Amino acid sequence: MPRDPIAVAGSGTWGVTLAQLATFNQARVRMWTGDAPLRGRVPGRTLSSAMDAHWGPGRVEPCDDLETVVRGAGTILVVIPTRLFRTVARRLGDFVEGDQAVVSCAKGLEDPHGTRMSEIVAQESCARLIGALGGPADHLDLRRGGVGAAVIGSRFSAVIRRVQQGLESERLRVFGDHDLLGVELGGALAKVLGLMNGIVEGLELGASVKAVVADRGLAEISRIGEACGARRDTFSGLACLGDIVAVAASGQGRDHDLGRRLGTGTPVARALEVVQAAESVATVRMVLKLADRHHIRDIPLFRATASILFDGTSPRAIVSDLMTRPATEGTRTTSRPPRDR
Amino acid sequence: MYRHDRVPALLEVGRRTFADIAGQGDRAIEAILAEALYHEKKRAEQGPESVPGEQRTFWREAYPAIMDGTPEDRRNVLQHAIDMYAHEIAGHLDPRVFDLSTRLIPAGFTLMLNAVSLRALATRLPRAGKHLSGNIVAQGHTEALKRLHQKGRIVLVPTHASHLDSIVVGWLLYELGLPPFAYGAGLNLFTNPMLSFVMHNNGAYKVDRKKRFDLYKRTLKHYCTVSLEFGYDNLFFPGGTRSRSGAIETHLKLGLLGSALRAYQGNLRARRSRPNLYIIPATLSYHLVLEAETLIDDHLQDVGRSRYIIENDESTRPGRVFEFIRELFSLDSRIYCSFGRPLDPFGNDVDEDGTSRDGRGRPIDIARYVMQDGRLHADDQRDWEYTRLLGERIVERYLEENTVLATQMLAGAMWRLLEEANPDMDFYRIVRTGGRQRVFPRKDVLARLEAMRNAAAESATRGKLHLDPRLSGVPVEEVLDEALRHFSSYHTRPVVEARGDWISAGDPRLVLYYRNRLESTGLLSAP
Repeated sequence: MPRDPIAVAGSGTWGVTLAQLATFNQARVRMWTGDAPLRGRVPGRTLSSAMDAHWGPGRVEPCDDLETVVRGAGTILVVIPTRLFRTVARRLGDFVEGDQAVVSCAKGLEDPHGTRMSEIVAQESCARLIGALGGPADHLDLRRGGVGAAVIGSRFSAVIRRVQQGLESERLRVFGDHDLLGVELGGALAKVLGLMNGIVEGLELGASVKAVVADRGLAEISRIGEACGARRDTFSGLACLGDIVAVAASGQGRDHDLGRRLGTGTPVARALEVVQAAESVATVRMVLKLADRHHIRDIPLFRATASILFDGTSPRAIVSDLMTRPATEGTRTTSRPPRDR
Repeated sequence: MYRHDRVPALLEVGRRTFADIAGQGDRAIEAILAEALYHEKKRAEQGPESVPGEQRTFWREAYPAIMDGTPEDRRNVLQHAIDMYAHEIAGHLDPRVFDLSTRLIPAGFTLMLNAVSLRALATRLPRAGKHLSGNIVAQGHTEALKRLHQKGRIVLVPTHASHLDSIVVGWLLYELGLPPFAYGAGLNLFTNPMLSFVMHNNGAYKVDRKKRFDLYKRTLKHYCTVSLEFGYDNLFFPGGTRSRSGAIETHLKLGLLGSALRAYQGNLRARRSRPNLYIIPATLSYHLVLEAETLIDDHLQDVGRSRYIIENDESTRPGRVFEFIRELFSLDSRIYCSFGRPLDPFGNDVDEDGTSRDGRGRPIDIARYVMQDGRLHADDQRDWEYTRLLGERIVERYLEENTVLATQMLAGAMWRLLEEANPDMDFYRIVRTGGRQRVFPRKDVLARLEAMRNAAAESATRGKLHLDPRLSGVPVEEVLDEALRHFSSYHTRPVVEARGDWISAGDPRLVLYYRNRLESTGLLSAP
């Protein structure tokens, strides 16, 4: 029996949005809603709240049987928070077969080793056709009738084609990139810049400082990503810069919210109580480990954020430290002057 | 390849290679022929022996058809060129010759390397044959190798340090009771008629690495694929060439390695009863490497690429080969070949029953990897990525199966002391000058060596590598003595030597070479 092109595992707001987008290309999209134990581990989230608006042309069919959803699909979009991702991936592994594509739609790294979601899929299942969906497409914009763009990162052209065919419509443009590592790292690390921007906003430092955070933060992310084996130019594309700009412009998201609270003087522990599941906190810790592993010292913004989160340093003191760092030549990471013409 | 398979196999190679190229259209045919013509013409200019006479004639006569002919003319030239190269490549397997030559090992060692005469070897090393079993040690997953051989075809992919590798592995396969494997041997090894006869009849096929044009590479690739489909086990060195630096290969060439996946798909299409292929990585560890001096020089001069085929190294000098083998026996030296856990062409683990398993041990239907909508589906880009994943897994296995030896650990310890004693020098200067300080107190060397041996033992218990079993639990002085015994023999200069209570780095190049074998093991930074 032919398989449905796309199925969705996960029924949070982004999962429902992707399922709705897939209905532009297929009449019926199966969506795994999780079972009772899993739903119990996602605070404040119910299927009804995520499904309150059906805006796609086709039908999204909720289903609580993972096997039914997985076996019926050519491509499975896994839209599960990073802290639950391995649990679900392991269960997916019971049913996934080698001709199926598995695409992570979660941005973040697994605590504590910084494992990427695509690596988790490879470890927990037989899947080889693996990809990751990144980019700035926002569920609120899409639900309001807007348009968006995303990036599918995969080493396999077949995965890129499948996701593009499954999700592209007049509402969503999907770009393809073979740099899976870059797409995943870009999406995960951009969240930390969301947190930094929140701090800047909380401190009322103004738009120009946000620009500095975006530019220098991007340089730091590129440095880390390149050392890990990603392509540098991936980070100046939609998968990373796209996210950075979108978060800075919208001022939305849990990470941004957490940063804003820290910037206005809320103690870290209190801010984390209020804003749960902000993935950037764990990501900062893992980025520092990655940087150590690759002998990267020059990441002042990430180190400053770590100091705020883990050492209790006040954001104002950090700004002062950053502003009084020894001057460097230009903003480029390379110190070589441009060639004379 | 056995006589009865030769004609049908070569026809199949010709058919597939032609279809592969012609499928890309007439412009591709023209471009590929023009490239081959250009390369062969350039080679011919280097001297009459560079290109065999009949091939020179072929390209001279083909010139007008390639340049001014019709598409049909070029198709004819293409088919003829493919057939010409396929015939050159094809090996021949004669079980009687194989049996005889394996019995004559270690005479075969030198014979195959164009070295001393059988008589000289027999006179000077009468007990060599008896000792060989003890000197060349197979370890690791040998039972899996034997069992899987009953279930499908084997692709053995060892590390490559020396020209001795294929002979060592060939001997071990014989010892394990397995038939000879087909393997690609450099054309230069076929120049001696006697050697050529033995190689040809032992499953070796000819690989001319100087033919770097697409037409030849595709023919070779299809030859490997067809030989696997015809039921021949294969031996590839996926590192492509001998490791120049001494380190274990971490970047593999995927072209030939991809033959396994192509053959698997060919088997599925043909509905063969045993379609599976099993990839067996193997790591070879030598106390001393025959060609170490030439290889590290090549590495340091950064001309590895331009001297891709070294034609004048130690393996071509009978005296050096003889000396090496003499030391191998007199020092009770060992060559370890550790066979790794089997993999399928997609990089999954395979159990001893031949079933592929995922990371959680669940069985996998691997045919699904090459299907779409329930049917076999061709996709070159997908297959390339599968092969890349396989390559990554092979490299992991290489490191797991590495057997750490005394010489490597002493070299690691000495190099670290050299670096610490000469902090303002980069490694090129240390290699060139030996540093301002190259002599160290014995106790300092022993301390480093002990730390490294303990770290190796700890890694070995975690399955991250092997430690030479003769080094476990012995006083570290014995480790040092064993390494010094080896290092003071064979090489032109002692690599490391003892002078009373002092230990000296005699040849920093070779210290670096043997130390490099421990890269990626984590042992070099042992406290």
